[in-house]
Amino acid sequence: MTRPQDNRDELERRIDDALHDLGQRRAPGTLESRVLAELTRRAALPWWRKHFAHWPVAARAAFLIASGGSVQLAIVAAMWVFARVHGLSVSTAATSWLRSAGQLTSSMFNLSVSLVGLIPHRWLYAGAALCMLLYGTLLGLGAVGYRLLYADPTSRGLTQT
Amino acid sequence: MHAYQDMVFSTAVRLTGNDAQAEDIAQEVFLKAYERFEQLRGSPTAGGWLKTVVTNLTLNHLSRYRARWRFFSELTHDDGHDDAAELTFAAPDTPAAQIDAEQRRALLENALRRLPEHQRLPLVLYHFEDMAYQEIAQRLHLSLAKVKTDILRGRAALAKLLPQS
Repeated sequence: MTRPQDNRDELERRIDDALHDLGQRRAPGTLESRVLAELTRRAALPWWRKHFAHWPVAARAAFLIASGGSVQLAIVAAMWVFARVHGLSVSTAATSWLRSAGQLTSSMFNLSVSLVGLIPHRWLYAGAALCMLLYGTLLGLGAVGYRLLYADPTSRGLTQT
Repeated sequence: MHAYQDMVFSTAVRLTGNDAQAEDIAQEVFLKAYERFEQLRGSPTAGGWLKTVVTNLTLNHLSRYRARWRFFSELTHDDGHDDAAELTFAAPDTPAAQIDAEQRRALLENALRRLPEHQRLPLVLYHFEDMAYQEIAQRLHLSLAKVKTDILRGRAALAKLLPQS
């Protein structure tokens, strides 16, 4: 009497032999021409449309220098704008506006906590359960709809012909 | 390229189950190889490099384009029982013992292509790429038990085409 494990090992061996016996699939005849055409297309691109690593050394150096200059310019400009704004005392107005916004947010939060405290806990639990139920229903309907309308039948199993 | 194009295409087509996608992936592999032509030319590891690249590119391709649908398309019962009996293939007109080897290979290749992706991928990685179960589970971000179950079901489905021993 053979054990299930022996049957599985035998099945593995037979499938392994059969699959290795398949050999290699022949590549389509168009593959080589496609690769060569793509290489030709890429070779015909101007240097600035190629990967940065393929740019001429001088162009790469110029790009790096220009990038560094741009960063430095942006920092200087930001510092200049900040100094001008600070000079016009706009920062004080901005600070007071932020403080007001913070107070408003805090008040809204306290109001929400108070309102939630007034609602009986059973209602809260029932509401949460209802939300979860509706979420699950929506997800289920979406999955069923996808499987009925879009899913490839062969991805769910093989049909008998 | 001539020496490796069948190997690269075979690997891609068996993982994807789709000739057009496999050809796209094979093209990408050879374009990458061209970028490293100086290193690969005459290298004894060129074949291994190509094999690794085509496997990685194919798995990345599959995960990129199908991950979003995986949840919906694989909402099947996975309660552990062997459902291989539900999988049936186009049976040849003649009994399995009477079809010739070439016909059997064609049927097996077709059956492999038509396996569900979640069975075909681990099965191909195990039998063609010689990956261990644990390695496949890590690569596909699946549990070890699921990988083993899917491979077993895939084998059971393919076994219908083998002659009785």
